Amino acid sequence: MVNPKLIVTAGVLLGLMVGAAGTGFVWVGSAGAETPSASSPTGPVPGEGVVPGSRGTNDAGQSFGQNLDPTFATGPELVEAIASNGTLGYVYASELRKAAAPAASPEAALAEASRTVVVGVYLTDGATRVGDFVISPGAAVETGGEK
Amino acid sequence: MIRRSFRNAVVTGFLVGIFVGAGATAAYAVINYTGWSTYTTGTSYSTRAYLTDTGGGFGGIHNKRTDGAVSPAGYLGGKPSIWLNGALCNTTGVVYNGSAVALHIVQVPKACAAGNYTASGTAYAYKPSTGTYVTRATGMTPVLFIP
Repeated sequence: MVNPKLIVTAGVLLGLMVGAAGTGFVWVGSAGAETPSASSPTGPVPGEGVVPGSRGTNDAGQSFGQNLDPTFATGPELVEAIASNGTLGYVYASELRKAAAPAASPEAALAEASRTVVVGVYLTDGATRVGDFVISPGAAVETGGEK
Repeated sequence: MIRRSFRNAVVTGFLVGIFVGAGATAAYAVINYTGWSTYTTGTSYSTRAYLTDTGGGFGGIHNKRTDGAVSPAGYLGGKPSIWLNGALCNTTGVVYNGSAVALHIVQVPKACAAGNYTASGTAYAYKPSTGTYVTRATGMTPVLFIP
């Protein structure tokens, strides 16, 4: 004779797993252990001579380093960035500023749909290209009723 | 009779488990916001950045008239960026509202490895009296680990 409590418990556990899996959570292992799945466990690989988080000036007199200013109006000329191939290097702040230039008018803004722009990712020397950085079109979410 | 009771118990437990499991997973999603930053073109606007692990991770920017009124098409722009451990991971061009909206949202998806992310952005609002856009950088979101 099977204990009814055991059956109910098994049903609840099965339901928990199905409910969680149905909303994208990934269960790993057994005995109740669960972890979210990792899409890419490996981080960016620094290009030759690139030291993550470092700042300085290269032989050409160009400053390089991280820049958390979203306008890129201030800070180093070479901004630490991750290429689409996973290589850590630098992009020119001037290229990032170009992508931030406002439209001439609302009419022009509507005519110029945001497009993909590819710029180079370089080593500290600012000349050796090691990958591409993709400035994506982005996705607008229009919410007319929300305040 | 006993067999039917067992079956009902399993079904009930299963359904309860699905609801509880789905609810627990929904609560797992995290969204980090900056505070609202206000700026003016003569009309007051508010903007903030956010970062979420929902859907594998993305950052974004909110831009709206502070009074909640609808802005005409092409009046609102947004350009979000996300960083992984301080290195620029992904950014967009300027994306404008294609129709009249009260709240304009622009998203940029995670494009790099798992790790500690931050997000910020630049908001744009059209100033009819000068025929130019006024811009405002958001603050930086708190760090969020995105798998």
